[in-house]
Amino acid sequence: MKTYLKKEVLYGMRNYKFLIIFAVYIFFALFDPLMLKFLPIILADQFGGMDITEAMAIDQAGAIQNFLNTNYQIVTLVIAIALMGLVASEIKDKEIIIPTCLGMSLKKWIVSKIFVYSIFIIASSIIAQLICNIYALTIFEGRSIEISASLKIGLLMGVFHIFILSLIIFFGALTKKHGISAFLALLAAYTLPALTGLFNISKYTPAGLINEAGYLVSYFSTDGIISLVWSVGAIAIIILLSLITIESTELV
Amino acid sequence: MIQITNLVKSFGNHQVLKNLSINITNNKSGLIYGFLGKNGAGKTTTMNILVGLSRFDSGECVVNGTKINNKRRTFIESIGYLPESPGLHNYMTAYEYLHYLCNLFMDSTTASVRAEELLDLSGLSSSRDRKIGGFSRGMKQRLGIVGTLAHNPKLIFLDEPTSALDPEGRYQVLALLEKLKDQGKVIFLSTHLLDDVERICDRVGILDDGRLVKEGSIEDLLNNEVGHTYNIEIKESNQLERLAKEIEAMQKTNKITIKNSKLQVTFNDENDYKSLLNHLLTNNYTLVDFSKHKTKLEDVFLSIYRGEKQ
Repeated sequence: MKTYLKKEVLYGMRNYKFLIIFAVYIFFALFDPLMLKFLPIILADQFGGMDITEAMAIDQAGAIQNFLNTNYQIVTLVIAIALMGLVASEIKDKEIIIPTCLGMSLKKWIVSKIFVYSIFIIASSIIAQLICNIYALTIFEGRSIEISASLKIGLLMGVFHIFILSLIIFFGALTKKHGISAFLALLAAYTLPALTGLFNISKYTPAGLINEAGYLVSYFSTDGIISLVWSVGAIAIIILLSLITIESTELV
Repeated sequence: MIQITNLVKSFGNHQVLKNLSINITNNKSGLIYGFLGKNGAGKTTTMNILVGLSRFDSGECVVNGTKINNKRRTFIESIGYLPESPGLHNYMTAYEYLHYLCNLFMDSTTASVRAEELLDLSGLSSSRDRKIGGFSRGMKQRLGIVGTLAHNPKLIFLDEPTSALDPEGRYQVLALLEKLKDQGKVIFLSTHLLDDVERICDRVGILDDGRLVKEGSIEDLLNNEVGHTYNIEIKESNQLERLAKEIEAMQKTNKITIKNSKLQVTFNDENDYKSLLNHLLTNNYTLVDFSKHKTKLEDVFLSIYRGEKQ
């Protein structure tokens, strides 16, 4: 398994996958609080001198909430695009033919990808939330969000992104097309909150993770725990389906 | 070593392999088997099945004693496969790639030693720390070939390994294949570059429309398949048509063609040229050239292929 993990780490480093995703996380963790800080000045002319600080939260909590939205919308997109070839391209470009004929285990190949990128995503997500929290505290007066809350938000958003990663891997193994796998994963990511909200079942899906993160508190609500458990279960099932799919996928 | 019996494979309604049967045994230490056929004949499909990566409709394939399952992927021990245009991990160095391949089934220290051996074999030792992405096609092919040898297989399948290579790249790949043959490897080589086949292959099988239409040693095919052809040029070039009719009347030839003021005559029997020579001399033709045409594999290939179509 060590060989598989080393290869994935090397792939992520040399193809700048880690760098791109981490940079996007950190960029918005710093950019969103800064934008919120300057928003009143930027919008002052357009609202005829009206004080918009009365209409919206221009504080640490507002900054973290903004980053949460960006995290869901933009970071999800960047992760999907950066990692869309993780399985699909390696199959399509025939990169796994020689190793497979040497006895490479396709199950370990899939699991190593999930393992490496899950750890990376969780770590990046938590670090970005902590940076956002601390930076927002330095540019806005008064602490309203605890560090522990940001740790929780980072964990929840990280799990949501791992759910996207598992979908990319599953669709990649199924279709062998990186564009389609990214599109389907993003379709799920962007429609899930609306669709599950419609039927009031968000807490049983990864969409509930975003809702729970939005409370900006350090403790878990009952719905939040349910969402986390169901999401981890969903990820496990998707990984299992990926392992079954890859065994029946024609590699040539 | 390789036994294929009545292999059938279809893609949708299109049947690519139609009861293909091949039997390759090897008593010699090393062998290069050329698997020939025009584009779309089914060469790659056959190879993908033989290495256990592709499913098939019916028939039986046994490779190195392992029966290939037609419903799911089969891992066959001690074979290597280099597909056409293989993807190598371009972000790795040559050494890292070979070490990674070896490390899949051996410990890291042993893998390091094996990777160095493979680099030596490929002639890429001087480029061991260069990224594969910066390699020429020829270098990538050589690296891919030695990559398939990581576990020291007896049987290696190579799909079009010299296509799209420049003459230098081709030369180096062919030299590597000859080296592998000398080491006792059996190489199943799919290609449509007949010069390469003639140069390095011991036996060939010619595939057409999903069936094996000819099989044998290069020597046998060159000597027996297209007859014995002679090039004839006479000073009285305006009488070529008449001469052609006279030769035809002798009823010893199976093919007469006139091209660029020259006659090309093919006999079934090697000794029949003597009566033609006698005819030319007794009828006072002035010979400019009378030489035996060196049969090439291309002639055999075209002869078989055209014969099949008639």
